[in-house]
Amino acid sequence: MKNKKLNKYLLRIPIYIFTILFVILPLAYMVIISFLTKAKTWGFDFTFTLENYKKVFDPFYLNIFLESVKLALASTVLVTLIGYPFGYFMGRLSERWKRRMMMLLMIPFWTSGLIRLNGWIIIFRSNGVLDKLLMFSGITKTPLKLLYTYPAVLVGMVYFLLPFMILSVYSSVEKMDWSLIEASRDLGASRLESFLTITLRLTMPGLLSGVVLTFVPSMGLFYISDILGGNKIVLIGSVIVEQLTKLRNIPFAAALSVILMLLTIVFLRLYKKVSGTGELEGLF
Amino acid sequence: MTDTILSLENIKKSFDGENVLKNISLDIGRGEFITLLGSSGCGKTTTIRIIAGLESPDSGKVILNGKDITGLAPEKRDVNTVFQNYALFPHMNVEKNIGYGLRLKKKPADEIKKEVEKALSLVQLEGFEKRNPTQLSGGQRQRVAIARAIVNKPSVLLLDEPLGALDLMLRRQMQMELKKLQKALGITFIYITHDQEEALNMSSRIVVMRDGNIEQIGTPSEVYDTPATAFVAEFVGGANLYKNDGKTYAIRSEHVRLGAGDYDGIVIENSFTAGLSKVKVRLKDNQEITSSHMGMNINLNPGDAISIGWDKKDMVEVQGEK
Repeated sequence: MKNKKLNKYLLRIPIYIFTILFVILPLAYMVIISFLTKAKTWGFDFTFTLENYKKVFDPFYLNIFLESVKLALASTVLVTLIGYPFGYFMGRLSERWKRRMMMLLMIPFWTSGLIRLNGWIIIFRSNGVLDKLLMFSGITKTPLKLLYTYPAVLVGMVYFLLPFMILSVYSSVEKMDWSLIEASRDLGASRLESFLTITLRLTMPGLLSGVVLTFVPSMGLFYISDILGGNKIVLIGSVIVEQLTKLRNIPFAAALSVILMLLTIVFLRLYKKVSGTGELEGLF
Repeated sequence: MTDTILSLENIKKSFDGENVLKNISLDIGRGEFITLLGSSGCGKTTTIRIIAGLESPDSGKVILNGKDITGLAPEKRDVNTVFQNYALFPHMNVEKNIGYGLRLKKKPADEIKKEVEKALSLVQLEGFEKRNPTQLSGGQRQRVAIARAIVNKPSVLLLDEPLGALDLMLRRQMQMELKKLQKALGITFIYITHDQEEALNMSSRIVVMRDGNIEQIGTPSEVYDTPATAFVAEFVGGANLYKNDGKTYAIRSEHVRLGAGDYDGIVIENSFTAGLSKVKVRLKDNQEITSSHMGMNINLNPGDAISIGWDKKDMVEVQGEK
């Protein structure tokens, strides 16, 4: 008996080591740096300061935070609106078509995301594919010049995050027992009532984890807004990268990251409370 | 039958070119306990799915209470189903499951509560309101499924092999309870089973089905004592089929006497189970006849020569092949 218990603890050791080494230590390192002073040349001095955090609360940066949250929320809403029906219908296809759709969903992942985003540049740029198409079909008369605008960034975000929502919804739709729908219809529910009271409720875990999988990364994604937004759409992720790589202000980048992380945690807490569920599939 | 509640008129249905229902016509009276009896694939489940509206027939009509409901959506039919796998909603507790239909009808909350309590007491599950389906045994889930259907007071209740997943003891008990429940509620039951004993036990009439056709409709004793076809004779109660002069006769094994009969043969099997001994005899013309007797095992061994006999009145002429 004792041996068994001991074994159980021994088996857990690797995961503890892994977590400490790759999660806790880097995070602690980041938090510590965020309280240090930027060195004159490179790196940081071990002098405690709150200056970095004071700077975060400068209206300039606060506004960027606000814009990032707004874009993340907009992306998440759009991804949900498109991804849920997509995942739902995919889950209802025959086995053969399910496999085909899965393949089609996976193919983009074989290519670098940066290259795929550059594809969007070709589509969006002035007199690009989209403009030519719209003008040719007579919908617009002049080029829309969509590249480096907010809609372009939004489309890029949605494009990038959609597969996560689709797969997450799909996996919960796949698990649905469709005889429950027949039972609800039999008991007097219309198609819509049946969907709202049974299907939506039972696929909620997939939808919720899809929302988390969309919202969390969209808070920090920076290269989509860099590539499709030029320097016009500045998100907090881009600011952090800039501070880190160009301005070499590592302590300030760390402080921004800490705030971004806290903000994300607050949103997740809030979300969990509103949705009233702890059962996000495979996430918490 | 003076008061018909449900009629099926020339129902035909095929799936992928396979005729599942060939031409089903059936009148069911108010308050009847009708059993559709047949082996799997005979079309009995398709029949009740068509009545429930979960499947639509290729041709033919479904008439409920004098109205043609063939094209009506399932939610608009005054019919409820107890599904074979129970189909309880996993995200609702027992109370919510049973009240589902009433909530859709926008009944006031206190009335729903009362009706749910009443339904629960009818299926003897008082105090189970707050349990989740996962916390129930198979028998209890079955009761909840029944309560969820009857709480809506349908004209007709459809039961798709509701006891199929239960063990024998529980099945027997539930058979009695279902019969009592049906009498108490006065609702017409259409019950599906492949178990002839269950059908004989519970039904006011039995519809024996085979390959998408109805073989015979009748009371349990009609079906048992005067089977119309060879299939019915054998499927219900396992009667002997004896061929003579180009005609086929059904002879119940309990009517076959051992010894001092008109037919000589050889014992090929002697089995004894639960108070019933069965002796299988091969006659000279190679036909096999089983004789069954209550009580002790009879001292006969395979290979023994024996003569058997039966009364002319116990021979029932039947149509068709088995």
